[in-house]
Parts: sequence; structure tokens; C-alpha cells
Amino acid sequence: MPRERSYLRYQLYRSEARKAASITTRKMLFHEGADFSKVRFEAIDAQAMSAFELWDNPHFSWGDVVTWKTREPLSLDVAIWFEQELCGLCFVIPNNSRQRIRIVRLEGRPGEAHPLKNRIAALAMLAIDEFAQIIGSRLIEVQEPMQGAIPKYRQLAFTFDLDGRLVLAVEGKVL
Amino acid sequence: MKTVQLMISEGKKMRKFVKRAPSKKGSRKADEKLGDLVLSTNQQRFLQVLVDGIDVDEPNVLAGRR
Repeated sequence: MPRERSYLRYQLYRSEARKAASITTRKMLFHEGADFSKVRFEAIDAQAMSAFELWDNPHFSWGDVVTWKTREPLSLDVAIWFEQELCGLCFVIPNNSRQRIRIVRLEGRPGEAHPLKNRIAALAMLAIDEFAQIIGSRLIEVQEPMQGAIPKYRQLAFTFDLDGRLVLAVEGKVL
Repeated sequence: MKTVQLMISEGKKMRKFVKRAPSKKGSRKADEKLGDLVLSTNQQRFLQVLVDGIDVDEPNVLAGRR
């Protein structure tokens, strides 16, 4: 059953990507008032959905993602936590060839400021870039970037390609 | 590391047996991994943005269509 095998393999990849992102942020410890040792990267699971229910007027219905996850076994879902506070959610799908990985949804917690305000994009990219490297993707693409978020993506080195897509080339580890 | 000395029975003889508490191999390995973590250029940049780049305002909704 190759489908079953790839499902399990990707489950491992997702877990590795989230874990690597957690280790990376934990290494930063405390900086500029943000204690990164308290940042956690988890799956969008029942706990994340319970915390999401408390969000004030969210843009997306993240309950959809729970269904999408089963339909898209190669996808990556990330819930970004600061201690017990759910601060961001992200859903990513690679294309069939896995050469390109698309950020389908990315949202930080709306309403009052949370401890990771203005840092959700960078944190999500840590996990996404790790996942892209694991599965051998060459490009990360923001599928439908919000206009107001373009300066942030540019800061993270995303550029528009000739087809007008907002992309970032995946690079290997620097030893 | 805690060690406990026990007397165990082997047939009619009693033998001294030293039982050691399980070592913390797992956590030591994780610590080493943490120190050895290698980052890509992109990841180094993301970390830099995490530290220095919060002056650029970030909307709550960053990507996606409702």
C-alpha cells in the first residue's frame, strides 16, 4: 500500500519539521522581551481547535483544515503556540512533483496583541523551510499573500517571479 | 546516578546485584542535537527577522483566501 506508506512517512516529516523549528527557537532563548523557549510548533489538532474557538473574529475557518489534512496526506499543518496561547496557524501543500510547496493559509491570532505579534510569518517559515528541505522542494510559494503582508514577506527574502508569484528558493544547510 | 544493591537468589545461593538507575541518555542526546543544529541561510535570515525585524508590521491574515 504505497499510499499508506507515504502517509506515514509524511507524518514523520511533519513531526521532524515542527520539532526542528522548536529546537531552533528554543536555542534563541530570551531576546527583546520575547522568551522563545516558550514557543512550540504543534499539529493543528483538537487542542489547537479548542484554543482557536477562543479567537476573536478570525478570518479563516480553521476547522476546514482538519478535513483537508485527511484529503492531503502530504500537507504540513502547524499550530504556533506561546506556552498555552495559540498565536498562529498555518497550512501548506506541496505540488505533485514536490518541487514547489504552497502556503495555502497563514493567520496570526486576531484581536489584542499576543506574545508573538509580528513574528508569526518568520516562525511559520522556520517550520515550512525545514519541511521543504526534508521533502526536497526547491521553492516555497505564498499562494495568496495579503497585500499588507508583502513588506513582511520581502523582509523574509521572498520575491515575485516572472509569473507574479511570491516565492522563496529553498537552500540547503550551511555547514 | 542512583545505584541500588540487591540480593538476588540463584538457586540456593544469594548473589549481590547492583541495579543502576536508567541513565539520561535521551535528554543528553537531545541537548547535543540542540547544540549541533545546522541552519540553512533562509533559516538564519528568519531568525534574524525574529530578533530584529518586528518593526515591520504584520497583519493577522498573511496568506489565503476565505
